[in-house]
Parts: sequence; structure tokens; C-alpha cells
Amino acid sequence: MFFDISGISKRSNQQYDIIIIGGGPAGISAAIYAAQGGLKPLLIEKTIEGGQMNLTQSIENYPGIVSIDGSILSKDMAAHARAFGTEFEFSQVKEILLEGDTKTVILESKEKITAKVIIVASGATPRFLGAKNEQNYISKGVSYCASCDGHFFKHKKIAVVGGGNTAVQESIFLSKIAHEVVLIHRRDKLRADKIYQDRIFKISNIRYIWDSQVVEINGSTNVESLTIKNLKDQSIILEKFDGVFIFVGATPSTTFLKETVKLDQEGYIITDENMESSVSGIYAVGDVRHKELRQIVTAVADGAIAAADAVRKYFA
Amino acid sequence: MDRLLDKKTSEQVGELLNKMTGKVEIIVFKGNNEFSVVTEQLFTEISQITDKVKVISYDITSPVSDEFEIDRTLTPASVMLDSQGNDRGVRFYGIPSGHEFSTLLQDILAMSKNGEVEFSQKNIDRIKTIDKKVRIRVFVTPTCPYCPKAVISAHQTAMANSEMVVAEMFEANEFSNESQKYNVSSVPHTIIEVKENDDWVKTGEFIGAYPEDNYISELMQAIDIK
Repeated sequence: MFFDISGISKRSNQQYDIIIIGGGPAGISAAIYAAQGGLKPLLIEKTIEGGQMNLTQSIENYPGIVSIDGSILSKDMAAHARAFGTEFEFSQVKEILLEGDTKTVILESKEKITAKVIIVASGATPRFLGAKNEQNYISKGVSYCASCDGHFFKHKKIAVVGGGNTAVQESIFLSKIAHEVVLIHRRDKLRADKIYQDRIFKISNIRYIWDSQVVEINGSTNVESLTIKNLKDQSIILEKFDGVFIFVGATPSTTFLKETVKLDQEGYIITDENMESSVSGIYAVGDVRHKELRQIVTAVADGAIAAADAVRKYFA
Repeated sequence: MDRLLDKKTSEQVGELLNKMTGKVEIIVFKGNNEFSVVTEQLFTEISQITDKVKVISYDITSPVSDEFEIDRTLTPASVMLDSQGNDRGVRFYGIPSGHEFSTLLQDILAMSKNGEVEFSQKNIDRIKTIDKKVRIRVFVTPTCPYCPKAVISAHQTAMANSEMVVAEMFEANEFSNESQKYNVSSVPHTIIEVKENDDWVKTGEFIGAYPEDNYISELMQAIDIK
């Protein structure tokens, strides 16, 4: 049992130099570097400090920490930012307005906050699979969050769709709750890092359906079965499941940016090597940025680079 | 039982609850189960941190449970009274642990200010137009980081119109029968019920934590108030 008290603090309503949108590792790192560079940062987070990191049970690739629960690392990072004077505001950004050198952020409460520089660290949300009826069964057996919903499937049979690090790590977590986990992946091998592959292949109640795609979700009220298509021979099977967890990547959270900054085809923000977007004074860091490797370690690096560049360029 | 809140957490709670203006009373209705023992202890530990929080426990069989319309099959159930000693419709079923602990503390702060609601005036005015008895049940798990927002929204709704609205956090693991009854398998899951001839009738539900305006729209639509 744990007792979390984050998500309560309120800002002091002063003038901020820099507004950071998103309180995951990229945003927190940017806040620490901005504060240590002499600026007053405000960090706006919509749900919880640490962001998606909170959903990972064990993080084992952050140098200096062999293994840590994501929610603990989240708290530690946020405490670090607070210790150097970062204020947190728990709200959602609806829009950004640009007027000359001033940038205005509009919150869901319609409050406006202005600053010279904005760092977008809004991350990404889980991507839908695109299977038929998927939307109709959300909360009726379709889930995108194992730590939130895993408990509802105690001793049941569940499917996990995906083959990356998240799908594999969450399958391992779910295998401790469910009677059986069946991992369905569209290729013939996993994309996850070797360390996770070695672990998952040792678990006896995880089974695999390779080269296959879930094309339809079926059931009267709740998920009862999945229609699974083999992509090699096009054969179709119907298998019974009590639930399905989907981990097939993420969609960048950029709707509030509207037409302001340049995005790539998938919606990720394009930046230069200093993390600055097509609009001067707007930076993008972490999972929301166009890049190859989306990890905590690359997120914090992005944040540091952006804040350090902003300090030099706009506040020297 | 060992202490639930470690030294560091207790200090942080103390710091936070320094901002309370009035007193808050928490009434716990206990059943014959471990969850009830833990809930009572959690509140007691908070009351030891600040003298502004007072805790009273009753066995669920006590007639006091009827005053607050607590179902005797559902324990632990907790009711929070505001700084004037009024019931504002804020309920917790189960232990407010994990991420819900922050919900509990935010509620204590708001209730110490006589049930201060942070919604926009426009939305508060809309909530005040609710003229039928409404029950909002929010199913959560302690490990769900998105859940507190849904519970806070429900509790704030109750504070804004305590005559008509009661808002309840339900810890889904502890109340698996209720979870099954409402077909909950993803959290936060908000159920909206309206009282018709002494029965609660489900008129709406939604999954996830909504931004304020969307939340109020969904709620009003479920209650059928434009």
C-alpha cells in the first residue's frame, strides 16, 4: 500500500520566464535546468507528475539506478524540480497564442499565463489498435493501462497485443494476475529489448500467436473473443478471451498546438538539434518530438538541451 | 498494525494540511473486515498530524449509518463533514490509498473551507440547477494515476449542490461485487444515477478523467438537464 500526495500543489501566480507543458521526465528535466540557469519555470501537468513513467513497474535502463518503480522515480524527479524552485500547475493546456515575442498559454479554466519561452513536453497517449469494434469495448474488456485495470482480470485469460518493450513488460506484469496471457504480435519475433525477451520466454503462462493481427473484437456486452488473422496465410481464427490489453505505440499529444509548429507526418514535433521547433521560443522535448529512441534517458537529455539553449538564447 | 504513513509522508501531509482554514470531521462506518481497520487507522493517523481533522467511527450496524444513507453491505464507508459540520455529499467506499490519498487530502482542504469548489462560476451555476437526487459513483484502483481527477470532479459536484448530489469513490478491488454489478473493467469509471421512486436508476456513465467543461456536459446530459 502506498500514499501519494502529488497533484495537489498550486502555483503562486507570479510572472514566469518559461512555461513547460507536460510533467514527464522531459519536462521535469527542462524545469531543473531552467531553474538552475536562473529562470522561473512553471510546469503544467494534466494528470500526474512523472507522466507515463508512473505506469511502468520497473525501470531498469536509467543509468545509476539498477531498478526502480516508475512511480517512485516520478516522485523523486518532481521533488528534485521543486527543490530548485519549479512550480507545478495541475491543469490541461487548451491552446497557445503567439503575439510577437510573448507566448500565451490558455488553460482549461480559460486562465491565461504568459512567458517568453514555451517548452512542449506533452508526450504521447496510447495508440488505438484499429480493430473492428475496439471503441465499443473500451472499459468492457479493452484496456490500455495494465497497472490501472490489470486487477479486473484476476485468474482470467487475456490477450496482449504488441511486441515492443511496453507490450512485453506489461505481459510479464499481467502474467502474475491472469491465469493465462496470450501475446499477439504481427511479426514472427518481438521488437522488445533482449533483456525483456529473455524474461518473458521463461514465463510458463504466456503463450504467443505470431504473424497475426487482431481484426475484430467480439462479445455480447463485454469482450468474449477476438478474431485473429494470420498475416502469412490469411487464415482466420476465433479465440475466447476475457480481455485484451493493447500496447501498439503512441500518438503524440499535440492538439493544443493547432497550426503553430511544424509536425512530421505522424504528428510529432520537428525540432533542430537544440530542440527548438519551427517557431522561435517554442521547444519540444521527449516523446512528443520527432526522433528515433523514446526513452526516459533520451527524454531527460532533450529537456536539458532545450532549457540550456533557451537560457542562453532568450535570457542572456 | 504498523503505521501506514511513514515519517516523510506524515511531514508532507502536515505541511499541506497547514492550509486548512476550518475543521473537518470524518465519520467511518466499519464492517467486520480488514479494510475497515486500515481505513480507520489511516484517518486516525491524519488526525494525529493535525488537530483540525477529527475522526469518529461507528460500526455499520449503528443507526447513524441510516442518517447518511449508507448501505449496510458496503464497508468501510466514510463520510466527510465540512467546517460547519454539514454533510456535503462526499463519500469514500474503501481505503483512499495510493493515488486516491491525494484526493482525500484535496477534499479535506476544500471541506475545511466550507466546501470550496474550484469549478468555474458558469459550471457551478449549472450544477446548482440540478433539481433531482443524483448519485455519482466513481470506480477507481489505487494504482490508477488518472483516477483522482475523476473522483475530485465528482466530489466537487457534490460540494456545489449538496442538497441534490452525493458523490462516492469506490475502490474497485475492495468492492468487486459492486464493480461486477456496474460492469467495471477500466478505471476511472463514473456512473451517474438519478433517484426515481426511491430507486437509483443509472442514467449515464463514462470512462476516463474529463476536463472540467466536458465533465459537466456529460453529467448534465446524463441527468437530462440542458
